[in-house]
Amino acid sequence: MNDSSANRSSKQPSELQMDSLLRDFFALETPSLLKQPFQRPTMSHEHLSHEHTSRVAISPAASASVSLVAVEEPTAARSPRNHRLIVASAISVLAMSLMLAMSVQEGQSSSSSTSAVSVAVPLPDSKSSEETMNVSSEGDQPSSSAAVSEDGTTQEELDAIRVSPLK
Amino acid sequence: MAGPAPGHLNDPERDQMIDTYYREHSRELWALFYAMCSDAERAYDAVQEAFLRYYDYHGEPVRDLRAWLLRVGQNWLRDVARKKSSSCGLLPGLDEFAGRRESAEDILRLSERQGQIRKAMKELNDDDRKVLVMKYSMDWSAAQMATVMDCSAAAVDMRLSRARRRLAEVLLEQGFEYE
Repeated sequence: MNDSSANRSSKQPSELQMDSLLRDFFALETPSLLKQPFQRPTMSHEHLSHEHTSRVAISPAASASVSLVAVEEPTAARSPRNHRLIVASAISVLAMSLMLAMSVQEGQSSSSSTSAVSVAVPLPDSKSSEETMNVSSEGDQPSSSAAVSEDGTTQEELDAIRVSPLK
Repeated sequence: MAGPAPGHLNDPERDQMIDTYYREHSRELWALFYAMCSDAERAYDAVQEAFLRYYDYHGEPVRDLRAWLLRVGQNWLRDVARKKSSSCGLLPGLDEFAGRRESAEDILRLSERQGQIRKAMKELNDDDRKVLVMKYSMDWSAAQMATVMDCSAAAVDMRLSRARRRLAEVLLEQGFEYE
């Protein structure tokens, strides 16, 4: 153990060595770009977002010919945040369409189950209810002579029946 | 180091002020960010981000621009650290040697050395790293550092010496070879 510590201390660099090492290290570590002036963005983000098409400028010097001066690719300047936004919106659209498809499927299956019920209990047909009913020309006037039942009972007779409680 | 209130200056004046401030303080800001993350490229990005945000900022006048930039850069560094985004650059530090006359072996060896020291710097505690950055990156005198660290110049020298010794120990453990 003593040997290893002695070995270590013998390998330990001097203060001067460390000083020189650190100076060299930081000289290389400092980005040379820091010496350059601040490079502000040439176009604002708003401008980039509005201009999606390639811009073709026409040189004023050219009398008859049209020269392509600059073709901008604003998509290259898009930030990763924009990409994330696009991906997120695409995922949400997919999810919504999936949910819509599922709800439509559910609706179909539920309607088929109700139709199965409707076989047993037929629902009133709205179309037939809207049609005119067959009503006699006498309206709701009691018809005295016409028989309303098979045994020849007339409406008048039926109306004459009085139900009284048993004593 | 109170900065002016450029939020209400005209654009050309403001641009000029930002240029001047960048020229005078970007190096110092980089060093401070470097002390936080031990990543030269990321520290540089933090400086750029802070200045860009200030360039786009049109809110209330900023009373202390240095503090404002530091806070923005620091927050940005924290965000990046949280996301742990792995940048796909060249070999660490290798791009700095592009265009130099040394042979490929020399460049590679130098790059490896830089990487080893960088790794060792990360192993140090914050105080040791800060004192080394102030001394060797910002080139501050012991008196300047004493003011910032609120201690005597002799104490600064002691801390520097201790930080160098710790770095040497870490490098030794890594098998670093001195030239």
